Amino acid sequence: MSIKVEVFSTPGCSRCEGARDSLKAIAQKFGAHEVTWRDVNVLEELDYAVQLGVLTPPSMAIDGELVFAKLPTRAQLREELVRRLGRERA
Amino acid sequence: MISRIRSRRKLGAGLDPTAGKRNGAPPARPQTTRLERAAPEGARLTIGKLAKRTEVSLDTIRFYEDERLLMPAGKTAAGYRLYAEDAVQRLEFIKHAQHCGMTLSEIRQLLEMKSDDRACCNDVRSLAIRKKLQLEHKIKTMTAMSEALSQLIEICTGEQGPITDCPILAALESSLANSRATHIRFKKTP
Repeated sequence: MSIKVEVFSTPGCSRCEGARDSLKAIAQKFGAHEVTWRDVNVLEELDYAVQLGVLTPPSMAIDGELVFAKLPTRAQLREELVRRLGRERA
Repeated sequence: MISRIRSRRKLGAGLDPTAGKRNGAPPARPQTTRLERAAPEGARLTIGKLAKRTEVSLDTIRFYEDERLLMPAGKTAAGYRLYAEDAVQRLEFIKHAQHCGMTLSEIRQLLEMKSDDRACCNDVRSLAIRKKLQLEHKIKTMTAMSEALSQLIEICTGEQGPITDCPILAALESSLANSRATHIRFKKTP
């Protein structure tokens, strides 16, 4: 089963878009069979964002859990994904 | 809060500790303060007039000054605060922002953005979105609290029994008040 990464942000935030694209590239390197990526517009899915505890977008959830209240660095994301994939395989 | 600030203001009003004791004179004022500049042209509103026009109390206006949200344009020779016309709009802005749930700190941020040429509309939008998320979280939490209370109310038949038999107090003591199990355990059978 692949890991689901969701990034919560609002359209029009140029800073978010740059950081998000850079992180998306990291996730895509693992391949779609390992990591799936979804961009979530906070305003369109407000209930879901609230349910996960998103307070200060952009934020990142992994497998339905808010893991990064602020966007992680590329290294932090890679580390987290490797850790979770390792756990899944074990 | 306001009374605390007022007492703080009183404490800081005179730098000379003996001031006010001599001949019943008012405490000595600091030599210079930001407020003691001459009132510029157009600053005609006294604090009383401003309060009346905006329906904001005098204490609140003084409190906003302590919070650096609304500064007088200057003072009269006798030391009374004077405000320019734009103070009315500023107070209306503060009131509207409070109606949207903004804290004073957030309102200060908005006012700073408003007067900052480098800030853009999206900065304000982001702040509004963050505020909306916070409010939605609060609503969710309060809805859960309300539901927990509904369950507690439901388990009590409201009879005139002794307090020691109160099912609500018993449920709260058992630490199971939030679970559905509590509802079943304590529900009195007719």
